Amino acid sequence: MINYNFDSTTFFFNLFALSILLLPLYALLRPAWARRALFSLAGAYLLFLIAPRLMVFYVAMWVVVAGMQRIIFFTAERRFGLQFFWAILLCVLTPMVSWKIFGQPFEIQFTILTNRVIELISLPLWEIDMAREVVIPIGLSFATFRALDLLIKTFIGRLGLLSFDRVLFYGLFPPVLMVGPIIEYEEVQKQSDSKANLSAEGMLYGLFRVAFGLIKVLVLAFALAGSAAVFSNYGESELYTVWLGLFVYTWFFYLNFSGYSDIAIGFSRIFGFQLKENFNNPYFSKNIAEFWNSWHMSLSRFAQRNVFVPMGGFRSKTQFLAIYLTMMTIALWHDITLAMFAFGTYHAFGLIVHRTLSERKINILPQGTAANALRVLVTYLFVTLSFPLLVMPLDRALEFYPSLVGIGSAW
Amino acid sequence: MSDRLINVFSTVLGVDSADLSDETSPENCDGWDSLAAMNLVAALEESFGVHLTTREIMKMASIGLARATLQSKGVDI
Repeated sequence: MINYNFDSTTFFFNLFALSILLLPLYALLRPAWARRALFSLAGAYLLFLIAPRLMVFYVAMWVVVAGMQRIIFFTAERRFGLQFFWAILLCVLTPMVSWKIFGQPFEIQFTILTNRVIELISLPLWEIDMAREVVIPIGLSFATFRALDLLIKTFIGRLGLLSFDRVLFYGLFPPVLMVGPIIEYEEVQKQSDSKANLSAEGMLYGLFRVAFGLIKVLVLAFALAGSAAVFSNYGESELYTVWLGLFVYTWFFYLNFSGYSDIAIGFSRIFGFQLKENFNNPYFSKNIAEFWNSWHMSLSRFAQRNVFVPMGGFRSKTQFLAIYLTMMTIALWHDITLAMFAFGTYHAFGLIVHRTLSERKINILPQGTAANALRVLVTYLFVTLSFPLLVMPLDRALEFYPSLVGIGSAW
Repeated sequence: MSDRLINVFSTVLGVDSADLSDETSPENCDGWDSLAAMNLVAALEESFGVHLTTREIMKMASIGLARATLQSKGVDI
């Protein structure tokens, strides 16, 4: 977690420095293809600054995705089109799934393989790469889902054939490379095809969002980061300290993650790109469905479009299965572990209960401000109780839970 | 704007038809959640006498896209 945050912050500081050079160039360049190329180069350079192997990997990945987009576009309506489509989806998913299942062995193989490729390209580049510490394929989960979204939309006919430079621009779009959001191609399409849409208002708003995000990450989340100790100290802590630590940790997690989203949205806005929001006051949701519609919304939207709908979410017979598979996708996107299986199942259960009550128009609580406040509290508590599964292995989480009722913690 | 399609959406979403247009989507319409979307699919199939495939439902990300999908199935709206 510490390295992850460090890299993300460094990445955004590099992006800020690069933007000073990038902004006037972006404004001056007339052809849309040149501005797309400039953004792609900027994204590749930012990856290079972390480690050349990341740059080589992601450029290669998006070139391959562009080729796949072509294949899907031309074969979608033909014989074996569906088989091609599934084979391609499997190929795109393989690196991310392997990483999540095998962990460190995958990272070592990833480093060795990408090092070798760089050695073949350029010896000086290889020397730079060797000097960098082992860098995990940062951003792979975000990139994989963005690629999947692009390919699925092509298959169903929502996207036409895209030129290689458009796919590279989408894939290497700098603000979202490290920590999302999982943007859709349409979010950057219009702006990337028209003239630069720079305005003082947009830049000011963008700068404000970046500053707001930095305050969230570097001041507020940093101040609450110590709350993570609750997951190791609960055995020696008093009951109220364990609960307090857990509550504070939920805020640390939210401020940290949503802060990075603010920075990404802000940087995009400076350059005239209006990305969709990624968080919308999730801890003030009145039910669990509302929570998932306001927490990491780009991931929820992805799962809703690409899992919930195709799995039968819009048919009453299959809706509960679709809910379960959607939540498992969201959970396993974070990590493929037993704890995340439990996390997905827990939230799916909450959503299915909520869906059943909503369908039958059953309101357990009456309408009104006090009842709404209680709804918010219950939803927040429900979400809070799932956090140990998000941050601990299952066996340790199962040891942690009894401490919330005073078993195993100091009274 | 008020037509047959808008009327179906208006009834299911519980939104005044004057507030709906082809640009209306789940992202700019509060009532258009996944439960409403399920009811919408059933209402569209019943009102226009069609069966929507998964691929067609996946394409219907706004009222305008729903209109295009139904028109491609020969529905006159």
